[in-house]
Amino acid sequence: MRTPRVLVLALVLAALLAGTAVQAQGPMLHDVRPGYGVTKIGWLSDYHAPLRGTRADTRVYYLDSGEPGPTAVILGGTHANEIAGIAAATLIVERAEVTKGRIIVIPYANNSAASSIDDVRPNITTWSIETESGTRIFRYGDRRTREADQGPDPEVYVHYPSGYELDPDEARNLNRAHPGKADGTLTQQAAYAYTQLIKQENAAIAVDMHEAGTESRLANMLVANPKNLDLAVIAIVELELKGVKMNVEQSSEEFRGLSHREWGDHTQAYAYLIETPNPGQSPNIVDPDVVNDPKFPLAMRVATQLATVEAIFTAHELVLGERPQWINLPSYDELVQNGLGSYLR
Amino acid sequence: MRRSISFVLILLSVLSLAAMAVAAEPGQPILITSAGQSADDMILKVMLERQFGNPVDRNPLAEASEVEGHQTLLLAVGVSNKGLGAAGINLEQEKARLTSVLDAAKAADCYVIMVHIGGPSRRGAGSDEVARLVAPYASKMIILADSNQDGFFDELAKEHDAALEIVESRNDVALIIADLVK
Repeated sequence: MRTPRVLVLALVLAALLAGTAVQAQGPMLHDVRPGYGVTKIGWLSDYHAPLRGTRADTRVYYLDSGEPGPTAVILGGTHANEIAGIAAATLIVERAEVTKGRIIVIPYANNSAASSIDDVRPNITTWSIETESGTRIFRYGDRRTREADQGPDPEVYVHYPSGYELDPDEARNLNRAHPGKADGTLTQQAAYAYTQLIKQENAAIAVDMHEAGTESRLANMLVANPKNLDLAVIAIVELELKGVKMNVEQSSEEFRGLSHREWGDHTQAYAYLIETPNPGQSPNIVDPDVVNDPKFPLAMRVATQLATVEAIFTAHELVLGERPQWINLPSYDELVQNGLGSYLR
Repeated sequence: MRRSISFVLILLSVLSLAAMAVAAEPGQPILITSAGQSADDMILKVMLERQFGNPVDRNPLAEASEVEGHQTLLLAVGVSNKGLGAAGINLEQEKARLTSVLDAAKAADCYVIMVHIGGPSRRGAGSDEVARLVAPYASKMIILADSNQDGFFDELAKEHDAALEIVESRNDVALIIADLVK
């Protein structure tokens, strides 16, 4: 039987529209509900125009006190499966008010990765929290930029500008792409935009919030660029006095592309990276609960991230005489006791 | 016979007095150094300075010549490959430095305290090797409970007859040391 011409035309039209719809999608938007503290919302592409319309573009939230003081830039979601950073950044946007200086927050730093599926835990695509306004659902993404957004991996990934060689799929790892390249891959361009953001906003402090497997050496670690290791140590001591145990380490000399190394080396900012333990990243845990694990609940991991940022701010005030000041965030004990859902809007 | 016994008694007394005389005593000033190049020695310095309200000498790469003039040598045990890399040395060079510093401390009658506050992430083959190197010189070991989950430091202290204190927090370490050297 011959296929009717109308049907063929309809099928062709549908295919064309489907292709057009995929290209028109642009950056994924997430459920982030700006609170009273947010004074401006922008885009990462404001710092590098070619990102506009791509999957890598992402929302940037400004909490400006209007009072003199230093600027801190805080990223979550460099790896979109490391959800404590995303949740902590979201909580800052939704609850914090800044009374001195400025805080600039990017909850989904690698937004292409957020739209992807974690290749280690493909069965976990979202996580949810019960709040006063109902069930809130968030993406559980992948560590790396989607291959479809960037193209195939090279045979060898060579870090720019150091020339350090890494495995091919690290070409899609934002935390191996800093300080970035204006005309590089999508991931390199996103990294370049963050370097421009830190420079143009004259950030004094830059924090990248991450997670690691529960048995990893990196779990509960604060990593600092060597130029601010002493400040990181003071932050650790401050945390210890509050009953929060973290270790401290400095950036590796030879391992390049990481935020704490490259932001600290290429900008004026004192750069830090925080790691908390995520059961979703532990290969020996079968069927992990990334929100309500009894030993590593998300609320405690978020509390640790926020407490560490606060300790960094305290260290800066002790040594350098100034810090951004924020209010209305729950304390460590409040978050651990009452849960994340009590504070997300 | 009576003379022999008297001679032996006198000899034993002299030897006892000699032994008492060489036993090191904790006190100030303190020199802090790293044993493995983790940043834990820096943490100790910050915590002790808070206790004392005064600066405490610290050199993560202290040499034997720096021991002189210090009554207590504090070593923060924990190997960090990043720290070793930043210092431009490897583990063998670090161990050689530590041996030379510890020999100098022994010769100078310096009280040696071994500290481990890095928890499980600062345990492993390298860190344990360094701990075994330091242990024979240590009069005291102050160890975070998290660092000793396998009882490694219990065994080490027993083997070398060192006084061992297991603590729950790093701040407890600072309090113990401050009390010891006052």
